[in-house]
Amino acid sequence: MDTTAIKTQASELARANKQAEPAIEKVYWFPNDKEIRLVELEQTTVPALSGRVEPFFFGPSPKDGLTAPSGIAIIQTQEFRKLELPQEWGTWNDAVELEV
Amino acid sequence: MERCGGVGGVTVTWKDGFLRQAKSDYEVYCTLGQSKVALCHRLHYLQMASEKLAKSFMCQGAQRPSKLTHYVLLRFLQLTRSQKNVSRLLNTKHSVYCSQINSLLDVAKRVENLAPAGGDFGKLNPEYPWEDVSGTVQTPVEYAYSEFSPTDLAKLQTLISNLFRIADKL
Repeated sequence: MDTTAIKTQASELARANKQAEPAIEKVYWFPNDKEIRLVELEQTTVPALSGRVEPFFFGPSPKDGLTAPSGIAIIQTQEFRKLELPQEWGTWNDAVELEV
Repeated sequence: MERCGGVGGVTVTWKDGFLRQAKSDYEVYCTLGQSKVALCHRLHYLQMASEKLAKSFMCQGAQRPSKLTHYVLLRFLQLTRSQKNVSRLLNTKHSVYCSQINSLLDVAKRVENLAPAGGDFGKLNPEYPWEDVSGTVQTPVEYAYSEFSPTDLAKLQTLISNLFRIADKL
């Protein structure tokens, strides 16, 4: 799948999450051509005791405009760039902030 | 894709394993609800079932959640609000589903917080005695757990049951 198409879906998902949870401060997208990968910053969430970003994974939902599967994690704001990312997600330097 | 062991030649992924165990924990929770056992045991199984349900969505291929991670239910429920297929599969308007989730986040957090805290004897939980803020030792089997309203627990139970029903499709 085209990375641009993934980004469009990532942006939609990020906006939907922000709308559902106004406490989300920022959303970062990790570009990939097969999966939507998001890390959302929310100060009120629990700290990551494992030291890792641990996403929740959902399958595609074409009927709802999501043709790609998604992996979404919520971390505390101060954990940004500190936690270990999932394998194959790249580095924190690859994160692209999405407008929400 | 890493496979766990299986029974009768059926292989199981980490996701399957967590979901199957979650369903079994939930069945025990329901069975206990029909008996006269102390509320602590029901809450214990509800916490375990809901944690494993959420953790099943943290598994992908060989990737599985850390054992250190217990507080996952709240984040899982929060994220289902952006997954429109959840409300669609539950035959519910999406806005209604989101409102339902929002109304249950408080009780979900309380259930999540029942998880073990690594030797913290000052924390309310369903398994071990603990010391409350007044210095009194509380015993789960004798504690009333008034922090959990029966109405909220029933609503959370319905939500968890519905999510189990559609989990394979998410």
